Amino acid sequence: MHRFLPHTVNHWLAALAALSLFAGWLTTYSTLGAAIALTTLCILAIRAPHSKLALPWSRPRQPSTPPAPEPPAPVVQSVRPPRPKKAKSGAKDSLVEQMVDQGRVALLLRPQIAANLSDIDLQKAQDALDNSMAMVPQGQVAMRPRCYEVLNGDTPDRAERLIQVEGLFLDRYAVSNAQYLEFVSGGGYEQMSLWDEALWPAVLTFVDRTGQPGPRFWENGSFPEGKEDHPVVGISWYEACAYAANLWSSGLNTTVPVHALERGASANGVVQLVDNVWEWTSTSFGAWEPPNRKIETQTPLKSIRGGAFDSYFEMQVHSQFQSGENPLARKHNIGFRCALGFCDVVQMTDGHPAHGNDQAAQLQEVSA
Amino acid sequence: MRANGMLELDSYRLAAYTVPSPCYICGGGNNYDAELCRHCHAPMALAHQAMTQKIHPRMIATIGPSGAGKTVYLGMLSDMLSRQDEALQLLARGAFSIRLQQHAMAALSQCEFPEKTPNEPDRWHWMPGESLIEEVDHPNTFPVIRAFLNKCSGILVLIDAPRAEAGDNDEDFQTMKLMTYLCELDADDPTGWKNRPLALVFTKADQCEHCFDDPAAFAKRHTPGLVQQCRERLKRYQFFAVGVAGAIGARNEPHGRVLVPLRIEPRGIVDPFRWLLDELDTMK
Repeated sequence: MHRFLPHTVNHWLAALAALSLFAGWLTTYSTLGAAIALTTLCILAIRAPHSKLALPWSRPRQPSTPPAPEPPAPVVQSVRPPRPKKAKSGAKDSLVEQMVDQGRVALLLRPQIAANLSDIDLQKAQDALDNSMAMVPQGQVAMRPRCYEVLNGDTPDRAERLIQVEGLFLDRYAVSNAQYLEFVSGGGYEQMSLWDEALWPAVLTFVDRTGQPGPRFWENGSFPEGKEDHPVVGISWYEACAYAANLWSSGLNTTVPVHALERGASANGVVQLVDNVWEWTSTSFGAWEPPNRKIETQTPLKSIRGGAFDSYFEMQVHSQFQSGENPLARKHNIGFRCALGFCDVVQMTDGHPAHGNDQAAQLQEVSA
Repeated sequence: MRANGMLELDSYRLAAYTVPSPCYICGGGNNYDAELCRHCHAPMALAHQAMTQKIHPRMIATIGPSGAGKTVYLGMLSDMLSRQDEALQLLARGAFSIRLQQHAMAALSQCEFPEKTPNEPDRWHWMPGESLIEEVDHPNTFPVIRAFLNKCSGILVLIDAPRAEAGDNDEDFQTMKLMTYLCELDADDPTGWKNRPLALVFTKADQCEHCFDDPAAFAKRHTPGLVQQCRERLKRYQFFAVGVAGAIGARNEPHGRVLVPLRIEPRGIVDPFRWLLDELDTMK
């Protein structure tokens, strides 16, 4: 019975027109019936553009009108080739390759997703990770107070504190303008899920010189000409976080290119850990200061490290020196790079992902 | 003669002693080999240069209210210019010039600000901001300041940008007083301060980053009185923004709260000085 009921307002109007004509013919009020039918048809004609409007009870039944386009499905869900997997032909449009090209390797290598990847895709992702990030094994790191050099040797405040740092993968290069442009063009500043809710009003103020969303020193939503390989600067700590979150989500007188200064790379191939630009870290500034040497600031600062091209004193450009900056500041000499915890990436054993205890054991082995 | 413990009498030296060497700043007489003027403690090197090379030294003063950052700015400027191997170089003429640089750099390299300049009127080249303000408020309190400013070809006026941004009108008023003092000091049309270049420098601009984007707009918004004075009284002036520390914090010390720079990254330090020199060249 339900299926014979009209499903849209227009259907109801058409039925009313026919009914009024029929009622007018049956009774002596045929003129009145014709007038009502005519009026109904006029309303029907006016409503024609809105024919997609369905009545409330008809919506679950998939009306004949075409459905509104749905938002694109999260990439995470679609990366599920059936197992056992056959080797892909290497087509460039493969979703895995697209994600690798976009630098979203970390997402692919999450244990939950890696389990559903083909061996070849997994290997591709692993290779991409090895190329773009260096492994920093877990271990103890000596943290010094900022004023270490000026404190007397016998001052208790001078004591270094050993802290345990979990293993992680660290970008070999700081994030470049070209990489950041992909984030901006991909709507990074419009995806509110990438940003802290408390920061949403401020995100609108993160614009370039021409008022477009983007780093402070860009124009018309793009970086200055010839600077595509230079580290992106003029970004706040929050913009750096949003960029990193995007990788996880579905979606000298000046700076030098991020690939320059290779000779200064660390033993595991991380470039420009000092010099070029300061880099945001997730740590709060002053976390390692002795209580009586605490530096008070107007707002809580985030720690930045590494020094920049315009740092004046060499003694302020080394791995132990830290400075602080307001997390909302968007300065000309502060960039960032991303890091990835061992625990966030699947570990490979003989070309296959390790599971459960195997992975934990392997992590310990690697860090040892 | 030396073996007998006697010195030769250099007649030329004796003759030189009889002729007083006038100080370039105050005009007071001095011995020809004096390093500093015995009247105003100005370096006599200026007078010697004027006499021997027949070149009148062009002097540029750096003035500003107390706490505006004159010591840090001058220390950083002199250090940057002495490091450069470009056309614009610094060659210190005396130990006192290097002392300022040494004093400032030693502190900044340890992430400290140099101690506040002591109020010692017998050392004119270390004259603190308070003395200048005293002279402006009560002319002729420090005649050497008056004489020196009168001889200057150009001036760098330092203004504390964070204080101005915070709505501290005192910064605006102090700088306006300095301007009026200068213009009354020498009101002659061709050579007076109306035609001499004046660089208005917002210091500590790293604490209000947008000041770097457009110093003139910053001045218009936060020091409107000063902008008005400049427009009415001066022909050659320009606003600049400079910063030495990337960020600052404060530490509680037994003797009080002390500001500390969190890193040193000078910005725009040389620009106002270079602009002044360019302006002076065009005036020739």
